[in-house]
Amino acid sequence: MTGEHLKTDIHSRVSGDDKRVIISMTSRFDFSVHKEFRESYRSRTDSCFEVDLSHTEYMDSSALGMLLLLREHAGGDKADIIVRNPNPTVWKILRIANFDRLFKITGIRE
Amino acid sequence: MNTIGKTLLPTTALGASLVAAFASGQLQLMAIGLILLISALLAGSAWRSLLFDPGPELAEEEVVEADTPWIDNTAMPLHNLLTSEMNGVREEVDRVKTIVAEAILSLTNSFQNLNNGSRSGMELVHAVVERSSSQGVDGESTHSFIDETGELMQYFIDSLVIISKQSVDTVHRIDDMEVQLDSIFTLLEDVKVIAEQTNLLALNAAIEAARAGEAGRGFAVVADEVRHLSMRSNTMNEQIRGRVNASKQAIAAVRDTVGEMASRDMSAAITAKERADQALAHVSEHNAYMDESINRLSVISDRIGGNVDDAVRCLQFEDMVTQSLGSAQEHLQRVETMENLLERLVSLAATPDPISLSDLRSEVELLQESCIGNAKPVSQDSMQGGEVELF
Repeated sequence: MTGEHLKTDIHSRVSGDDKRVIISMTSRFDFSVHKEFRESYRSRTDSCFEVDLSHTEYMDSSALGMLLLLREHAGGDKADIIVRNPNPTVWKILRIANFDRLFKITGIRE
Repeated sequence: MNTIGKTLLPTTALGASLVAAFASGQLQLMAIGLILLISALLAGSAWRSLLFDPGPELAEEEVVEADTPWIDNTAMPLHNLLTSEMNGVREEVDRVKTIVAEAILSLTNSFQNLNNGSRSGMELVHAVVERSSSQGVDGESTHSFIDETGELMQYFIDSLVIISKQSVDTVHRIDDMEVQLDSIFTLLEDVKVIAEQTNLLALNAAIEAARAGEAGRGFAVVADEVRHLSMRSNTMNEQIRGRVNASKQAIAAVRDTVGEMASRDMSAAITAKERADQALAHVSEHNAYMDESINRLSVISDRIGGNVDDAVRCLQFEDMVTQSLGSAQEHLQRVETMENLLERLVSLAATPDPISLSDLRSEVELLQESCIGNAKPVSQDSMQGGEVELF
């Protein structure tokens, strides 16, 4: 958990032709960022999102809850959400929760 | 009779000449006569031997004169040797026959036991494998037990995730509530401002009332009351602020609790799930290994059975050996017969008479026929595939 730089804030931006909202997550994706995470999508009416986990080293169950709430906000089954670059542990967590059925998970790290 | 006649004739003739010579009283003639008589006797024996027609195999005996020493020195010892050697051979042949028969019986038993043992072993292995793969908790298979455990784990993980989601959702609502509570403070500020301004107005009113003198006395009282009211309003304002703060604190406590509910570390779940997956893989691997082992054991057991069959078939050699030995015994029989004939021939050599000799000759011819009439009983010399003739 001691990285050279701990990303401690989330920022979101819109990019690409599909106007996907990209949310770059912190090193620790847990309950402490629940308010910020919500703020990053709350005002948007889009259904296309990307959650960038490139800097995320730790994830607990609250993060899973947060992702589900994002999906609900983005339209539930109609939502189109990419989860990018999870590390191996995070990928295992996503898999045992069967999140590969609900989200498009890409760029799994080695 | 011809023989006797031919013998007597010259003898009689010479005997007559001898008498005549004696009658004439001439000794010289008598001497000559004696010599001639002896010659006749010798010639007679020569005639006898020419008339007697010997078989080819006894030609050697014919050359030797009727003389007993060679019988005792050479023929009899030879005869005795032959007898003892033949007995020796017969004993060995009988012995071999017995040994072979016993050995084969014992071998056949051993092989059958081997085969039975192998089959029993196979059955036992089958039973053990059946048992180990099917026995689990409450008699269910280990495989289905692990499956159920895996399902249960998945159920708990899913519950965990749902609870986390609902918890975070609750926290969101608490956050919204907090925003609402905060907005009350803003309102309270406004109320405070209003109260202060009311106070000021009341003060101004009191001053104006004092300037009006007696006429303003009633108004001054009203102004006073208004001031009291605004002060009370301020007090209440403070109380409300206090209550709202308390609510905020209480709500924050709830949010902390709910936040903890939402935050479950997932590493234990991952470990458990991985273990269950591994166990399942092990069981499958174990079952596959068992199946493969059983197949290989079956093949081996069949092969043992095949080898036993081969071995038992090889034990057929008993028939061949028995036949061979039987034929050896027959040869021995004939050799014995030959030996008897030889014995009689040797004893006849001392005093040969034509009748006995010709009887002997017939028996030899019979023996010759029986020797030639025998085909080799066993046509194979080795154990490799071949038909055994039964007769």
